[in-house]
Amino acid sequence: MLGTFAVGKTSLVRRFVESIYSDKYHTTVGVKIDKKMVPVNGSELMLVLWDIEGTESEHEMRTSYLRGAGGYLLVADGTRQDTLYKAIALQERVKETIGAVPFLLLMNKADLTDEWSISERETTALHEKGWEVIQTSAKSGFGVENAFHSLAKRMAEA
Amino acid sequence: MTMLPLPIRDFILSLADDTLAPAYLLVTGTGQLIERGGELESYGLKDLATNQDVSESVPFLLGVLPLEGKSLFLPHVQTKPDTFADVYIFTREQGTWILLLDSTVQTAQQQAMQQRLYSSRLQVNDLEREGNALYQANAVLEQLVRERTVELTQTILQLRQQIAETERVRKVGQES
Repeated sequence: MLGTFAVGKTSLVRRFVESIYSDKYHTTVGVKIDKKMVPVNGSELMLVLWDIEGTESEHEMRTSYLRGAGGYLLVADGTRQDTLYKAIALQERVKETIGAVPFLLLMNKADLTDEWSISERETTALHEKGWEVIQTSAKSGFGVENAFHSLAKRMAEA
Repeated sequence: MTMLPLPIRDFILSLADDTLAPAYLLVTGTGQLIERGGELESYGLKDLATNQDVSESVPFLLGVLPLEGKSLFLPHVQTKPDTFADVYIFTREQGTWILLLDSTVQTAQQQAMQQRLYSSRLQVNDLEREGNALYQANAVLEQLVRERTVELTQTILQLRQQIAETERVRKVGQES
């Protein structure tokens, strides 16, 4: 799980793994690791999820956490435009570090779309670059299962 | 460390034992357990058997072994609820060593500072957003005032023309 701070990485993992959500913001320090079995193409795949602390810029990200990653979810907060630009910069950094592995961009906080500051045009441009962009809400659960399952499928097929 | 007198080295080792709860695993290059020791249970690591693949029981080692390069440092890894470890992985002639040192206190201190910093950043974001909304609302209001002023000016002009015309007609009526 990668993205700048307070975009909802931990909330997405908790929603996916434990089906719970809390409105209270708790910043993550270091890395928290969770596991969940996911059905993919008729068999079960164990996803080991590294919920990595969000940083303010891609240069502050500790790349040792990326060692051995088979894929990743980039998370942006739809209500904060800068989080999308930071996610794009992070993707570049990850690609430089571990090469091209499957990833998806999650536009989180889909329960607040009336407050979004990221335009459709910006996400369309990323679609055109070949990025898969999924809207999610850790609060309501919208799109969360789909996001993790899509990543698992891409990783299995890679 | 070799330059330090023995009592100092002993003191440092004792301090590490008391405050860092050291624990270790020694594994083959591919991750089979050769040896283990230290405070493993305090990190939630137990029931590890010799020759087993450690990544089955230690999730943060999955994908990390075999180790690329000579060493790897993973700071603040949550090994169980409320327990964090700094994890050092390095290769020596015996195999790959995995050293865990407790960092729960430092993680909590960093978390408290980071929480304040990021919460402040979020508040600044909210204020900026509200400020922008106010600025835009003000711009809309100013535009409305300008439009209404033009309308009123035109209305006043029309009324003046009507008054003048009425006055002219009245004067013509009086003269005739």
